[in-house]
This record gives sequence, C-alpha cells and structure tokens, in this order.
Amino acid sequence: MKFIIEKGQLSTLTTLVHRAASNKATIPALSGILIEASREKGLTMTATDMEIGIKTSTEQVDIIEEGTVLVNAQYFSDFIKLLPDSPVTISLNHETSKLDITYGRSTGHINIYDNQEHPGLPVKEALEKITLPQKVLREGLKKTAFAAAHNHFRQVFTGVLFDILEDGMLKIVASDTHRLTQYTYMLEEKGLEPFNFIIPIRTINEILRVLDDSEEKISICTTENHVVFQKPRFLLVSRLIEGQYPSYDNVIPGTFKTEVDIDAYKFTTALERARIVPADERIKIPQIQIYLEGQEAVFKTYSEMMGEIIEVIEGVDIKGESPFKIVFNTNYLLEIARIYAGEGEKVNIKFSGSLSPALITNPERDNYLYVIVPLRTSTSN
Amino acid sequence: MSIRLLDDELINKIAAGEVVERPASVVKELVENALDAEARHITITISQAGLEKIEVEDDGQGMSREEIPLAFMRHATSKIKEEEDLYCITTMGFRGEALPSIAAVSRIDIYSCQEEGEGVWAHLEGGKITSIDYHPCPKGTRIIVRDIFYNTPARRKFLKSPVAESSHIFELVVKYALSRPDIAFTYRGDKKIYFKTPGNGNLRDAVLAIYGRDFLSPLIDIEYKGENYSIKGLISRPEVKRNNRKNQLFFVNNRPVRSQLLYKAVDEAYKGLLVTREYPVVILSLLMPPYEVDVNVHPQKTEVRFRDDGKVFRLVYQVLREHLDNLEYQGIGEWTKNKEDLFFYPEKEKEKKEPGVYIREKKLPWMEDPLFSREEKSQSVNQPLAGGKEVLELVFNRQAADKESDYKILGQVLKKYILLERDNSLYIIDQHAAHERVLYEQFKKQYRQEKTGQMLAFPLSLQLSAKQVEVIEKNADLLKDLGFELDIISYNSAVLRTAPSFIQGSEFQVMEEILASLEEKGEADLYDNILVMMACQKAVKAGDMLTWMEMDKMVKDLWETDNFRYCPHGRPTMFKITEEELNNIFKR
Repeated sequence: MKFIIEKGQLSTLTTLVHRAASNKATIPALSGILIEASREKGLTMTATDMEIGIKTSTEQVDIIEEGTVLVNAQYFSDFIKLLPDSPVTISLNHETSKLDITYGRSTGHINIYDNQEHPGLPVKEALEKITLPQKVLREGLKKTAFAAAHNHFRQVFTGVLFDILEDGMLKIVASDTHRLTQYTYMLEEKGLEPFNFIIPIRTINEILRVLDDSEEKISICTTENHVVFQKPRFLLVSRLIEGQYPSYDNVIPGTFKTEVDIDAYKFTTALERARIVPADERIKIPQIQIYLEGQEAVFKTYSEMMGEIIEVIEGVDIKGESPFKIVFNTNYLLEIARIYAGEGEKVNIKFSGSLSPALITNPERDNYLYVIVPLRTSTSN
Repeated sequence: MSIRLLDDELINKIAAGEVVERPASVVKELVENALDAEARHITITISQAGLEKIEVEDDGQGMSREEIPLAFMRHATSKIKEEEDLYCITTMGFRGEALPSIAAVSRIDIYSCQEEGEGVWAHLEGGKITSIDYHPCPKGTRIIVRDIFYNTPARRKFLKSPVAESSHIFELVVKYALSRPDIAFTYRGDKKIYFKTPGNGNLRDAVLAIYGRDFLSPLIDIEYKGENYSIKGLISRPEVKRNNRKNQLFFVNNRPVRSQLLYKAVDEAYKGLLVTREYPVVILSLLMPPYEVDVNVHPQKTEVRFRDDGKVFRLVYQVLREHLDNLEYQGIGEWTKNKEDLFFYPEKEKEKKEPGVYIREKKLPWMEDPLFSREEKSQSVNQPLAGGKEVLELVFNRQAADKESDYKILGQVLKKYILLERDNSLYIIDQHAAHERVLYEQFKKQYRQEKTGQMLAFPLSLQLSAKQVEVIEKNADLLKDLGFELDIISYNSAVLRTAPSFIQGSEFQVMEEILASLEEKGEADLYDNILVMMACQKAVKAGDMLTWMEMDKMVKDLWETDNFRYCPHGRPTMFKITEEELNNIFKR
C-alpha cells in the first residue's frame, strides 16, 4: 500500500475516526484505525470499539499502490496531527512490516496490527430512515442532550430519544428525571410509520463534532439495535440503548397557575451570580428560590458560609396567582437560561404549583421546551 | 434422687428443642416434607410471624389414614430404610424427627389425601392425636401448626421480635423457592402475598418473582456440566456489591446449604474485582452424586461436608472465574450481546485498569463492615482502642498549641498523601481519608437542618421485594426526612417521586442500601450511613493533585474535627513517625 496526501486532508480523516477506536489495550484490533487505499474509492479510514464506529473517506489522495493496514489509532493520529503542512507519503514496508510515513526528508516508521482482526462496521439493512438538515440536527441535539443523565440505573435516561410520530413529527427528548428537554421538527418524509429509538449520549457527542451549520442533509437509519448516521463519505454507527422510554408527554405540564415573562439577559446574569454562592466545599445542591409578586421577580440564594444574594428583577410581567414561591436547582435553571439568552429577549416560565413541574420556553419560538421540577425543601411544605 | 427413664412426652420436648428452634424451623421441616412428597405447588401461609399459625399446603403424594399416626412417631420415616441409604441421601429429610418434634410443641391439624384415596383429617395436641377421621380434601397434604411453643413457655420467651422471626421465615422460604425453580412456591403473610414463583424451572423467573426486575437485571447466567458435577445459577457483575452474604445462596443437590468452602471459592473468584467486605450476589445450584456429599452433619442439615473439598472448591472457583473473565472480553464482533456497561460507561472501563483504586472509591459506605463503624463510634464515647493514648496526646497538644503555626506542610507525595511536620514528628496523611472525615463532619452539621429533595419528572418505578416494600411502608417518615418520597404501588413495587439530588442515577442502588440497613440496624445508623456515603463520593481521591492552599485547608479542617485520626469508614487518616523513631532508623 502506498499513497500521497496533503497533511491537512489526512489529519481531517484521522481526527474524525480516531475517537471511535478503543483506548483500552485489551483487544489491539479495536484500538486501531483501519486504513484502506483503493484507486476506485480513494482513502478510507475506519475505527470502532464495538460501541461506536466511524468510517470516513476522501478522494483527494494520490493512490500509488492499493492495500489495507491497521495501525494504533492514538499513536497514528497524534503523530499526523503534529506533522508540518506538506504532502505526506504513507507506504507499507513489506520487509519491516511497518508503516512508513514520509514528510520532507523525515520518516516515521509505525508498527502495524494484523488487519484481518479488525471487525469492520456492522452495518446491516436499515429498517427506518429519516433525513434532515445538519443544522437542524445540530441545534436539536445541542439543546436537548445536556439534560440527559451521565449515569443512571435506568439506561434509557443516559440517552437521547428520537421519537417519530405518525404525522412525520420528530421529537428529540432527553431527561435525567430532574428536568426534560424536547425539540420538535417536522420531517419532510411522508407516510412514515411511527417509531422511536434511544441514542447513547456518547454517540450524540461524537455526532455533534461532525455536524456543521449547513443545510446539507444527514440521514439517520436504524437497524435492529443500531443507529447509523450517514452523509456523503461519512458513516457513524452506534449501538442503541435498549428499553422503553417512559411516556414523556405526561411530564410536560398543561395547566398553569402562574406565568411570568422575564428579560433573558437579566435572568441569566442573575443566575450566574447566584451560581457562585455555595462554596465548592459544600455538597448541598445549589438552590435558588424564586419569589414572584407584583411586578417583581426576586431570586434568593443562601449559603451558610458565604452569605446570601438577593436579586430583584423589576418590570416583569406576572399573570395568574401571585405571590408565588418556588425553589429550583440553580444549575438546571442556569443551563436553560443560557440557551435562551443567546436566542431572544424574553424567557417565559409557566408554573403549575410550588411542588409541580414548571415549563420554560422562548415566547418567540415554539419548537423547543424545557421542563424543570422543583426542589422540595423543608420550608416548602 | 433416683435415676429413672424420662417419659416420652418429655423426651419429645427435649428433642424438639434440637429441631424446632423457632417458627422458621417449623416452616423448614414442613416445606422439606412437601418437597419430598414430590409436590408441584407449595403454598406457605404465615400468621403473626408464625407464632399464631403456620400453614403449608402441597399437592404431593399425601398420606393414608394408617400412615398419619406413624408419621408423628419418632424415627418414623418413609425416606430411608437401611444404613446404606444414609450415605446416598436424595431426599430432604430422613431422620424421621421433624413431625413428632413439631407436634410436641404445638397444636396441629393435618389434612391429607393420596391419589385415589380417601381424605383424612387429624388433630394433635402436644404430640398426641386427639382425633382422626375421614374428611374430604384435595390430593396432597395441608398441615396447619398453631400456637407453637404453647407448652414450652421458656422457648417462647427466647424468640426474637415478630419482625425478626418473620424475616427469618422469609429468607428461608426464598431459599427453598430458589432451590427448586421447578416448583411453584406461594408465600403469603397475614393479608398479602409476598411472592409467587411460576415453577417453570427457570431460575431467572423465580428470582424475578421474588426480588423484582431491578435485582435480576445485573445478574449473569452461569452453567457448567461435567461428568459427575454440574453447576448452574446466577452471579452478579462485579459492579454489583453487597455488604453481607445474605444474597449468596448455595444449593447442593437442591438442598439449601451454608458452606464456608463455597463462600471462600466465591470470594476467590471475585478477587481483584471486589475488595474485602464487598460481596457479590451469587445463587448457585450444585448437582453431584449423593455419595460425594454428606448432609448428615447437623440435625438442621444446613451444613454439608464434601467428600472432596478441593475438587468442589476448584470447580466453583473456575466456573465463576471463567464467566467473569468472559464478561470483560465478551462481544468481540457481536454487537447484539448485552454489554451496556462496556458500551455506555467507557470511563468505568478505563478505571478497571486499576481495579484496587477504582473499586475503593466507588464503594458505598455501608458496604463496610458494620463492626468497623461501631468500633469507631465507641471510640468517640471515650473508649480509645488502639493508639488511644496518642489520640489524647494530640488532643491536648492541639488545644495547647497555637493553631496557626503548629504544623508545617511539606508537600504531597504519590498524589495520595500529604506530608506534614508537627510536634517534632513526621505525619503522613491520606488525603482521601482526611477529606472524607472533614466533609463528614461538615455534613453532619448541615444535613439535619436541611432536608431538600429533588422532585422527579419521571417517577422511577422500583421493583423491590415484598420485604423491602414493607420496610418502606414502616419508615415512610424517616425516608421523607432523608429526601425520599415513595408511593407504594403493590406488594413488590414502589414509585420514587422525590430523592436527594446528589444520588441522581443511582437512586435504586442507594434505596437498596438504605432499605438493607433499615432492615438490619434500624434507623439509628441511617443518617450516618448517608453522610458517610456522601462524604466518600465528594472527597478528593487518590491521584488528585492538591495545591498548597488545598492541603493547608484540609489539614486545618481535619484537626478541627473530632476523631480526626480515622475516616468515617474507620480507616486511619494519618500515620505518625516521631523524632525518636526516625533517630532509631538512622541509628543516631
């Protein structure tokens, strides 16, 4: 095998795939990148740790001799990343059984693995398929994935749910049981059967790295227990989380007692100040009390060690029952406030009671919502 | 006083003491009889922890009118005939002692019917048949034991609380139900059904019926078939750990047994995966030729002796080890295999490279030997054990010395220990243990005042055992104080609506631990357990780099705490080398 390629081009491929390789040494083949050079298909790289697999290829390569090698992903990609910007010649030395990487007058010789041992990607026949613009998927995932749990005894909460409804409505939902996010998008495909699947959070993070803000389409296929993200010259396969996602519709409150519109910027900065209150030595959940009365929203944070901050935002529009008091985890509130602050002027919060979930939305857009469940404190009941 | 023979009644009462120790022993004997009668369905009903009534109903062979009086005579049995049989026992009972012993200390009604025979009813008081007659009843035997120990008040006095007695019975019935997944067991209490196994021969289904889905899911099947020996059962993945052996059940030829040898083999198999005082869940059924095992060691037959200890040990060890090893490498080229843990927790995998460190940190506090924490407590009540003198010394020194300048931090070594000079001595402080102690004391102050629970958007339904549900029912207020709110849905499930934020994702495991500790120790230690767990989770770990300021703060805080020489688990936080000791080393 021998080919010549620009460093930039090569580096793009390796950075894309190397993260899919396993970083354990137990099964060497899984910690490798499979490099395939073909005159017809160009240069293809594949890596998988059996949990997630990525395959990508380029035609901007000069293939001199076809062939396949398997090299350690970490060493190879780290090395490629640091090469000078110049053409790189990569060839398999059959005598030494090493991969020679030549740049200028310098050469690196890298050990190879037996490429027969690489399992390849388990792409089977797709059952269902949807297609959507990359920027939509990117926004949808960015706005939902953060609410998923990193670790949960109910596996489904460590993933993001893709729920395709009868009318072609796609709902992307994530929850760690303390809050829930939902992003909706109308798919172009017609006549879809309703189906759903749960993608592990690690896969979401990987796919977010390759998505850009373009209108270019990406397709998502599911097989029995895998999901495949596909765009030209790129393929990401991941296992799905098995299990039934609980019915999230019931979690989204429908009737409300009190409603408030707050300036998004003021809301965020108030929360940011509130966030610093509990000194890190304290384990207690950073909590904030919201008190609504008249035209004012009062945010109170208290810490035995530091003291307290009382933020007053004036000129808020309160509808329904007031005065009203509720306590939330500051972090959960701040995360959503930051999203809305980058988007519009106002944040709308609807409360269904001091001990019931609240709904937070951007009053200008209706494709996204955030449900947050309050804390029950010794003073709240 | 002249020597004379004891009368039969007295002999029976004395012998009864051997066999019938407590209500659970009655249940045991009756269930074993039902099993030996080749029953397919066994229903056990308990009232008032078995003190009022124990009823065992089966659909086995039954007895004829002639057999019933014999059954209640000592050393009458249908199970063995000659001495040779003793070495080749396949039935549960064989001594012929059980029924007469039970009868001697209770009032019994027995209904029995053989296939195509006539039903018989008999009533016994204190071991004597007072009436016997034909009475229609379904095939099998139903035996009702009432007022146990009514004529031996001394024994009755020595019984533990009804809760403890019924928990004994529960554990016992569970053991038998799991030993024979091919038989449908129903266990009922005063008003409710505790569990009902399907009796379809599948151990998984039996476990599911008793403990619920959440208990079952992390268990893996193991199986081995050899020429003479075979092993089958369920064992837990190494991530699952318990603080006692209650969930380690062994069956030898379908007989529940306790065996130090088997415990040891299991421990050995999990070596490196779990640390001391962490126990896996193990449900193992061993089948071997009857002559390879001697069950006649003890009247209760819970202890067994193997003819070839070494062989059994090696076999269990190897089979378990093999399955555990396969777990690590499972799934090469097979994406469909169920290996979520490899899949979704890459961090865990990485940490496994250093099993010792990883396991230690992730450990839940009440996995520690309870003795340890008790020991620690007793220390605080002015009973210094080892090193007591030094503790006092330090306390005095601390009070006397100027707090600002009485120590000098020398630095951090191995990213694990802080070196310190103080009072002409060198101290080595374990940063994790020290921080744990510091946090523990802080939480202790705060936690009782603040009772915050995060309400859940998705109430988490928990599949529990009937026992656990009962504990929840009894301790609802206490759990609420801790930030847990649960609704009981049925006899084996509950829904969690509010839980402390910091345990997100491990609600089930934490609940299980809390319930286990409530069951065992009562509420007194519970706060402590929670605090220890929180402290352990939040403390800096071995391997964390510390800045001078952090070290200084930690050391200062540590000295402020009571009991600073030990972490809440009872491990030492520091090691002291005095000037003389150093001088000795260097022969000055």
